[in-house]
Amino acid sequence: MNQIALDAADLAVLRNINERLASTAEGAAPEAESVLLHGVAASTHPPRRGVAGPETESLLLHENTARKVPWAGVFLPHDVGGLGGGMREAVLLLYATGRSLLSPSLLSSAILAPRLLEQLGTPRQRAEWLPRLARGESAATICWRDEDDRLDPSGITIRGRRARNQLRLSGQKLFVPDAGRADLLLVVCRTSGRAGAAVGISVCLVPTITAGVHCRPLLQVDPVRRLFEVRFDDVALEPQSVLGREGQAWRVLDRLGDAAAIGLAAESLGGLERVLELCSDEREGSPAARAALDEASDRIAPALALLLDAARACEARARDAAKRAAGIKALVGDLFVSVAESALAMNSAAQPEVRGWLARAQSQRALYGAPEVQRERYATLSGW
Amino acid sequence: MGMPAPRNSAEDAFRAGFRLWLRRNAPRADAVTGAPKTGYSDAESVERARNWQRKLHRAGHIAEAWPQALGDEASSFSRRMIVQQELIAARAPALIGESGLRRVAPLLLRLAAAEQRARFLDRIASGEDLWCIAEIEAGVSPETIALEDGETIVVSGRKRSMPMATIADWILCLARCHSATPGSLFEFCWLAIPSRSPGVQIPGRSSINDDAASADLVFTGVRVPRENLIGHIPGWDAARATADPEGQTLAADPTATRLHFDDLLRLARRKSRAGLRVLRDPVVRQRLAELATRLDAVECFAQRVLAAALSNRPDQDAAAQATRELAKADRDICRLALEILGLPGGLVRRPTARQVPETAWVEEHLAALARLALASPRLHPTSPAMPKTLAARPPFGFDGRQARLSSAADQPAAARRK
Repeated sequence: MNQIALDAADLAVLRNINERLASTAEGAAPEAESVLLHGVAASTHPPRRGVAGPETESLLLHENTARKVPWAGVFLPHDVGGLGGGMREAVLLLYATGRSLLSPSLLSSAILAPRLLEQLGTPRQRAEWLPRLARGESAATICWRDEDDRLDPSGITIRGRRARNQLRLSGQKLFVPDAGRADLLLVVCRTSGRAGAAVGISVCLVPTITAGVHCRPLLQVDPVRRLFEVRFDDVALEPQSVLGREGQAWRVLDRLGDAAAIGLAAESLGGLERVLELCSDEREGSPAARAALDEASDRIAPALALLLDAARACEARARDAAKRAAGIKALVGDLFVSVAESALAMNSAAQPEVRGWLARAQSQRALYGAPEVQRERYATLSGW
Repeated sequence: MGMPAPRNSAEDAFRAGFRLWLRRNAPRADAVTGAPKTGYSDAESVERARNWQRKLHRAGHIAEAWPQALGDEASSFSRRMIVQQELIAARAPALIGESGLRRVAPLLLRLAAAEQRARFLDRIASGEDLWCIAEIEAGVSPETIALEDGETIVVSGRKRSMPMATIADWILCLARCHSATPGSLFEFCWLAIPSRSPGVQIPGRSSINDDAASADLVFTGVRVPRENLIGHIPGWDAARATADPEGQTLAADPTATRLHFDDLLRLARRKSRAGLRVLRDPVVRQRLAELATRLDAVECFAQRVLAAALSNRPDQDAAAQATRELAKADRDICRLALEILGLPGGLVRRPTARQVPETAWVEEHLAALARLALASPRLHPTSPAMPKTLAARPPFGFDGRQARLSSAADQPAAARRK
């Protein structure tokens, strides 16, 4: 059925991605397996400066991936050494990597952060960072959400204040992916304007080695894909640390939020397919769960079709791109959790892995706008 | 999302022309609700529907609704799709002879002798003869028996919830065939049975949607002339011969479901509860958005299914999947509409002049459930899942069920003695 949802070009890109992923994954499985089976984050690397807690194997895996295949480079333009991939390639990559419980998420460091730098940065900022990201020498991530999970500008409460010739940043960001391995944090903050206004939102470039930056891994349900709390204790930044024009970042961030929702939906869809595969031959267990899984399997191809449609709308900056993004994130977020729950009720031999998938599903459901939030956004965007 | 549309100037011109013709000629499907009416509750509504098909036939538009293999040169899948989409968008009545057009005609073309085609085809197109396809039974595979008895074939068995059963002139019946000659067994055949033949009984309307003229059919020693045997092919091919691949693909068209959803939105905008517009109710908004996103996804998928068919790469499995998902969305749209309506929605089955027009949602809900039942992969004999089930069974007559079948075979003789 996916042959209908994906066209020939999509399938060719996906095949290419899968070949590269297969070559990257060699040798990574044993360490990752321990994470899966024990759910324990074993410290295998000395923490970087500013990283308070132990790192996980996902760090090891990610570095392994990044060293062999600098995925960030795939999505950067040719003039900075990238391959010029777009949203379609990004979505297909995330769909492919989402099928592996052990692979790290490439969403923030390989897609969102480079995209934000590329779209918002001044020529100088682009020249400084993008070639390094394209070569895989540096990694960047976005510090976006505060405690509030609102998707509009009122969700950004952390402030950057002017003090003499510096910008001082104080506060904390939550649920930051890849903060433990990133060299550069792109911190979304308010530098002017009233709370809730779109004008006044800026993005600051903060190297992780800056004094006053503290990263701490959060205790979370998904032991593989760690999220961090990043605290800024009166961090002093140069004025040129603001990415692009100060106070004018919201329009780009809003679009990037759509890309994030679509990307996370792609990962979830890949995971969902994998869970269904794990239970495909399982005839024991709850009949109700079996029926729910059969029902869900009918919804995958339509969801994949909508996902690619949303990616195209996002790339083309179509008028309904935001609505499509909200729709696919809500649809897949709920479906992934319900499939993982049903799979667990099947009580199959693959139950340890299914437990890991349920954790992944719950985590991905909540990130970048839970389905309830996205559905309300969809309703508002539809003019209801 | 717009309707999936073939894009070239000739097709655009055809669409515009047909749309104009509909604007001038099409009756509103239901004067009370403005929604397409799904059933044929009385003789008057059946005659109205026949007249509508005749009108389309005279104007030459039925040719476009035929499967490609039957149509003239101008007929094509894309035109058939346009006709279907425009009929739905105009909320024109459905074609009463659709099952004849979509399934009986392809079967006749593949299997029937020249005189059988001449006898039936034109009357199917004009709506003079209405057909019911009798295939689904309580079990997975057909247990209705057809026995050779000289120049006649004797049919016994029971079919479940057959659409059009109460108003059809002809029944196209799928049966397991059993020859009196040992060793000449063939598994299935299709028989054209006049609906008023002695022994054909309708034991009461049994479907969930009784307005759609669906009913069980019981055949008790029905004697059918051998000339009404529409050929036979050993094995499952006989059953699949009625499959109309174009029609199955067209069933995945989401136009009707999108119209349904738009009706639901209008209802939510219009209704108030406790001084609050229903559309402002956070719970309803969540449910509407959930339905809308599901529908968006099926629409995207269905567009790909239709686009593939337009490029001569039809995928029947994908079409069946899209059809099922659309049927589920239809069911849930109606369910939410009934919840929004509250008491009148749940209690009143037929709208009258004094009742609110939205009560028609009850009928729509039942029709949606009936469509969902028919779209179920387990029930549909032309579903790809079915041959596997049948293949897993031993050949007819050799699986220990011989005794039961033999006694069934004796039945017509006993009936004759009476």
